[in-house]
Amino acid sequence: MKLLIVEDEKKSASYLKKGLQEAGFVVDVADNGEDGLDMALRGDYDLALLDIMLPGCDGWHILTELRRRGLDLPVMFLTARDGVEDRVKGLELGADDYLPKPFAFSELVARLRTVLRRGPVRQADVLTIADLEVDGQRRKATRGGQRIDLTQKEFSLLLLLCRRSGEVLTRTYIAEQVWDMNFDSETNVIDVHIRRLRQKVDDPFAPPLIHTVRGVGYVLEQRA
Amino acid sequence: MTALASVVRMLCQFRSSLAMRLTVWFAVMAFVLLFAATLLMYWRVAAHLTSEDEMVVSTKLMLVEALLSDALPPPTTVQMLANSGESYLDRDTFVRVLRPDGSILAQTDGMDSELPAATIPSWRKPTVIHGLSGRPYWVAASKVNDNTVQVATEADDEGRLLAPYRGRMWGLFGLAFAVAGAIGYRIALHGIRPVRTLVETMRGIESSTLDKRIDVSRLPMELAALGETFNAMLERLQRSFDRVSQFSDDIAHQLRTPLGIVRGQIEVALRAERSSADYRDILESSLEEIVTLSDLVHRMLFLARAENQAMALTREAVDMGREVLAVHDLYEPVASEAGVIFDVVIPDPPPMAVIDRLLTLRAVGNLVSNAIRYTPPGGRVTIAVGSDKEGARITVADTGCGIAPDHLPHMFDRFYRVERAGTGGRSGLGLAIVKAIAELHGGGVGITSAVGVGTQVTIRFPPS
Repeated sequence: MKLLIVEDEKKSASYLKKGLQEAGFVVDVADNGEDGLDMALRGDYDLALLDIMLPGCDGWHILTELRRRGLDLPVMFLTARDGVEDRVKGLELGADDYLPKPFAFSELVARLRTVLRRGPVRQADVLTIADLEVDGQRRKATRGGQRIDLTQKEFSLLLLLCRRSGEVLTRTYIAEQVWDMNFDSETNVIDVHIRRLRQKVDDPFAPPLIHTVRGVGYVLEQRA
Repeated sequence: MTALASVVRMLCQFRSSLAMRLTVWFAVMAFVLLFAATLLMYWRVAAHLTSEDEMVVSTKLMLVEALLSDALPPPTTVQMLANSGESYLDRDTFVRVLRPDGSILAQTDGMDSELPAATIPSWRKPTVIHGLSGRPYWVAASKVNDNTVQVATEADDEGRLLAPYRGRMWGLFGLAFAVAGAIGYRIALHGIRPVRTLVETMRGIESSTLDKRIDVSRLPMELAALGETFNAMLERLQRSFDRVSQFSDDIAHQLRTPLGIVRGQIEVALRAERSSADYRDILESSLEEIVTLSDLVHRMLFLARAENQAMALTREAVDMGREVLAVHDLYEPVASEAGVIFDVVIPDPPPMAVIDRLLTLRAVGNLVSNAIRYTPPGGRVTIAVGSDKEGARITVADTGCGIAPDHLPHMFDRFYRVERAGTGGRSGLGLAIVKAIAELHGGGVGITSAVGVGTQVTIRFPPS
């Protein structure tokens, strides 16, 4: 997957490039609007991450130009301008997503994948991580062959973690996906749900699969 | 009077000053009164003079009649009267006696050339006619022994008597107008002095002296209301001013704490070589602080935009019962960990409302997590939904510690916390956000509480 980042702020561009490369993407960076537009038109990118306020020409302009020339390269805006009008304008111009700064890097990666995955999500009927097996179809989970008794929401949470296994999911993202709710992150409510899930999925077994990533969120993966 | 008013208005526009207006009105009123009084007097005097003139001519006629009746020969009578010197205020008097056939029996010299016999009417009642020279005369006539007697005295020539008086009168009017104006101006100045005092007090009030108030007791009744209104406005201003400065204080404090931690721990970390586990720990800890910071910034932005009504709602018809159950689902584990009973009261059929679902759930979630936090184990938290003709409402009630009455009015202020310190890093923005969300919907929030009994917070939505 090849990404173009158009961002004039050097530190931002640099950490984004580093992080996204480590997440397995090929990344090019343009530090002004004109170069950004050129590269987007010439290069064969899968997605462009655009800042809005840029020297040369702004992000709106790049997107408008791209769409005018019939290029439907997916575009995500990353910006400190997060007025509703800006968000609406971005989406109306044909942007695929809009992430206000400051954002969690994991959130960016999760949303990037969502945009890139477009269309039916590839998902196996039965997901297997180590000795954990989750059957999305029959809403059944077993570990080491043992049936795990889960409530509806607990199962949805586990399914989300398994589908995104290896990806760190923020609390906000989890609340959005499982409860379809936009909650205030002051509450520890997601932590309580994860704790309950751990009691059933991890505590009776070894090794633990659900891990806390401090300052970010949770990830389900097999660690050596 | 309308013409007068328009003149006054014109003068007022000349200089839109209260004192000037009062002065003009005062002078005009004085002038009008004086003018009316003088005019009345003038009429009285003029009428009096007229009746005197009438009397003179009548008396004269009677005298002639008497003399002729005493069989005095007419020429002698005429002579006597003409030469009697009895002319009223030096006025010429004419007498004439006509025979029944109209020829002149006798007359005062020169009468024919001024008042020919035919010009004088034949009745007794004194009448004013003009002589050939154009001068006015009082005339009267009667019959004695078949002869006709005509008497004429010169009438007062409109103001020969009153003219100097009239001239003086206009001068007097001018003077009166000027004096009334001057006095009026003094009175007006005196009258509006409290206004000036008021203005000076107001002028002296700045952001640093918002605690100054106007001494209402020294103001006249009409201005006291103004003073009180102004004082009330100052009160409100001072309160919001205090709140804003408290607010900046709070923001600075909220930002300073995590910033201080991050800055300090990174600086300390860089002072020596550390193991990678140490670095990791420091980075993670810094990240936690920074997440706190960015959450705070997001929340502040949310509030700022919500309060400027700069946020678009995504309204949809929502089954409030179902949504409240979803909130229950999310928070039930938190409640059960805290040993709090958590339930939901939904009427049948559940109320519907056209609201922004995500924002509303966020508000309810805030209330529920607050309620659970302040309710001791064994207590109860209840979400109830309902609706009536005033719209839908969601109430979150707890059996927690309650809030003292003096805190209640401030519970929805940003950063307001009952205990100002040590609330576990909570920003104190939760209830402010709840209120902002309710108000974005055109609704409102209400809170009731009793210490030791519990608290109820209600979000109301207007009918859709």
